[in-house]
Amino acid sequence: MENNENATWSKHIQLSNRTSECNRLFEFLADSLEQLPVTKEFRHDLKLVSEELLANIIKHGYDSHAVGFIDIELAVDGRSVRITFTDSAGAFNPLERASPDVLNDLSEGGMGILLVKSLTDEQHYKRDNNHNVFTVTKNYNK
Amino acid sequence: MPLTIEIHAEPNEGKRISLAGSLDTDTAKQLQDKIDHEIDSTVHMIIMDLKRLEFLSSAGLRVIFKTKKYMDSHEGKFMLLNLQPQVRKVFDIIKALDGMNVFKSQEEMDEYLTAMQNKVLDGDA
Repeated sequence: MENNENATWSKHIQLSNRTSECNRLFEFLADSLEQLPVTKEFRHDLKLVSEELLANIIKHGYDSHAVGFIDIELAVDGRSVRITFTDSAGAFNPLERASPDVLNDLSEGGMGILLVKSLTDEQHYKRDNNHNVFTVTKNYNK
Repeated sequence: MPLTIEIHAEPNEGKRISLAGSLDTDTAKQLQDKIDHEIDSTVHMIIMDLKRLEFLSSAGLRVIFKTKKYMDSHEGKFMLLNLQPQVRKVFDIIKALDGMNVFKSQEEMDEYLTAMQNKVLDGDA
């Protein structure tokens, strides 16, 4: 059995529901993934996925005047990166959207979830104690 | 990463919009506002130069589509230029390149425009 140097660990950040928080999200991701043996493309893909999910929550979740928080946990286990987004807005499962007619519809979120599905290996939604919990997993060590 | 937008006049009532940095959910409105302010139906061609655009998400893509749609509505031209690989990847996943004029370089675009102009001059509308 190989000595797994990539120990299991997780990091956490809390963002508020403002699009300017993107910058903190990007910093968080860059810092968290810095030591991981993954490609530039892998890092970009997770950055894009995270941005899409954050944007979706901000847009569809909290009422525009309400202050809301979004908890993000990034966990690594030697084979994959798992990012979990938790928010306390109304129930919303982005996976349930119908596929949009993207170019004619320009539907908000539709393109985003398409990108999320294409760039991650697993996606999972659950409603837990008045929270939306959305998890994506991307494998890097097969 | 912020978004930097430069708009310059181009020949034949065109405008070149050069973007640098990140076009995402935070900066998309900035671009939409700028376009609303500077582009009207007197603009016959838009060249969107993405050479220095490092990051694009669906929020930004929506602004690009909306602009293209606007140009289509008054028979204007819309060209995309110099997409970095990670930006092109976003278009590819959304299958958004169909129906778009995308060029890898200024030279490629110039050749296309010259060919189009020659067509017009030859009477092949």
